[in-house]
Amino acid sequence: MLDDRRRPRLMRERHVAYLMKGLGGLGGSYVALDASRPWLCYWILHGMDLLDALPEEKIDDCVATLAKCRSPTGGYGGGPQQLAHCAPTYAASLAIAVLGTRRAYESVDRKGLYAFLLSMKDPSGGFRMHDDGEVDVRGTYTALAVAALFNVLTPELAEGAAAYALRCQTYEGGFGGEPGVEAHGGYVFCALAALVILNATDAVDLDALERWLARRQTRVEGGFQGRTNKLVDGCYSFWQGGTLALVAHVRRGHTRSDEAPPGLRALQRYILLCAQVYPEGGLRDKPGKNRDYYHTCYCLSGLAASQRLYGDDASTVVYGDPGNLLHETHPVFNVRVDKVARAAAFFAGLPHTHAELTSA
Amino acid sequence: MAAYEDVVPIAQDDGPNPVVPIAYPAEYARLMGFFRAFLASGERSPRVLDLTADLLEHNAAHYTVWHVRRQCLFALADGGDATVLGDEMAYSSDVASGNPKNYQIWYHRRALVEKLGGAYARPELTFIQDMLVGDAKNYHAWSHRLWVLTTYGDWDGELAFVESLHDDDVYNNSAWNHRYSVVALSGAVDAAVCRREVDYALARVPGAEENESSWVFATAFAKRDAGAAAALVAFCEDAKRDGGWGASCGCLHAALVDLYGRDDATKPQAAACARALASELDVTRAKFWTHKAEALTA
Ligand SMILES: [Zn+2]
Repeated sequence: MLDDRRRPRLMRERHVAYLMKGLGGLGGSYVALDASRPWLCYWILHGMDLLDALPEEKIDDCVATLAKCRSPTGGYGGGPQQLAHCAPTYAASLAIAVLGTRRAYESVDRKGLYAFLLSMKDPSGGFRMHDDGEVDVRGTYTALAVAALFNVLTPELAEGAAAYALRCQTYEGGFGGEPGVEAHGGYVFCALAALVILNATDAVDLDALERWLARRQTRVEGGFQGRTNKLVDGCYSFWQGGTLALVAHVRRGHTRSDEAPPGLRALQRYILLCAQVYPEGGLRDKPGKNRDYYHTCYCLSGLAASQRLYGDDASTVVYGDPGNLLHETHPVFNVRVDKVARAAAFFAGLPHTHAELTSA
Repeated sequence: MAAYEDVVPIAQDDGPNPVVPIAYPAEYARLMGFFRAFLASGERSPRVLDLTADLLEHNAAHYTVWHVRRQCLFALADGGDATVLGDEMAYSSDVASGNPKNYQIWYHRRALVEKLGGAYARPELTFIQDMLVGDAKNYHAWSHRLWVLTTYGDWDGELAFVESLHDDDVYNNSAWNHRYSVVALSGAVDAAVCRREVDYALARVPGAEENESSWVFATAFAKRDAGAAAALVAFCEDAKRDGGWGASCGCLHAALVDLYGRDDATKPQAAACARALASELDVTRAKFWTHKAEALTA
């Protein structure tokens, strides 16, 4: 875990081995994630992609498995023959972007997807996670992110969505899952990313958000907590660290582009020294907890986000071994920026109006 | 077993070389075969209801199984079964105790209460209260509680409930947030209410001076009324005077940055507080406070 100069080192090979093992197969205890298989694909593939270790020989198998999770009603379910749901739809879409091949892109049924997303719209302006499912700002973000990625984000789909997300900002400055509910790192990311997609951040109280974010980094550990007076957890390295990157992105349009990023080294130290599982590989919530694919993905994503908060090489911050630098991740989609650009180039030329997408 | 002997199971269509395949427990795989068959046939009956319960023991996050379970329940209730939904409340309470952080179970409760109507609001608040005994910061439980309150308007006793949780743990931020929403949504937020809430928070500062929750709560209500703001500022200045405890309190200074920062005449005081935070009271976020001080003096 240390390099020859005793600097904290990202154990790339160990993490890749752990991720690769999961892609090949999972034990019986993973039955609890049987409605999350597109998530498992995304967590593993994006983690490997950040580490520059996407397994080329597995790409077609991944495309095929994701295609099996497609629902006849449009969108993706948590596994084959499951109901379409915004969360696995998001995970599958991101995984397709990570895979980045023409075959992966062509596996997307854009019209079906669009019909599914439209059918999830709720009168509140939010999105339902699935037919007969809950409405919260995860629905807003996952639906809009997918729509933006595949170029089906129409005014008809976006209508009312920004107002709903804005209503989730609380007196603390963060955002909750629903209007009036406690500010929480996961929902903060979802709400702000959704508003960035909609280009509707003007009505966000950014000062209050920045204050809340700055305070979520814990003094002793250097990692992030999800809510006020809760414990630090490695996955918030991305949910909060990614939100820092989004705020930096929003601010760039106004002022303060040269502002020194707060606590990035402390965050990276937490990820490298507390979240890495030594010697097995994989990353975790905190010491004493087991590694898992979710935390491995979001600890690595948080590390990547904090290394290039401003998306340019000049302000790159790498704590520990210089080899710890990961590929740059897109602050809205949490997919490598080159992969987002590649997908955007492919989908840009395809039909994208409401009329085109709803024609028979 | 015999219950499904007329049913031809449908296998999972995983394709030839699936990635992330799960080595399913044999019983789960067998039952899922029947479940997929019922999903396809549209049968919604007592035996399908039983099957969903068996599957949820293996995987309580299987939202498709929950969905079919609700379809069975509502079909049976609409068909004249007078007890099936009441029984379901008891069943889902049990499942919730074992899976308190599961999205599906909490949505299920919401859908059931919606179906059963307002008479079930009060018992639901009691159920949530019991769940909060196990984890007083359970996010889903708090969300659900706010939904019950805003939907059925039964606000009586809610402030006292929050107060009892703060007697147990004054750092419980979920309870602080809930109190804010209850006050904001249940009636007019006038000067007297703002003052009452600032006083509520300040009464809980002694012994927990660096509790961000109470300070941010007080500041939020102070921002809504000038009299309440004056009371909060007076409290802070009093505590800072002559090297009192407030002189070294980070949260107190952060509150003053907010309150003084709202008015050009007091911005220099706000900047001074931000500099004190940057240099000694909250050095972890020194850069944030330095920037704040610069913005206030610009
Ligand atoms: Zn976590």
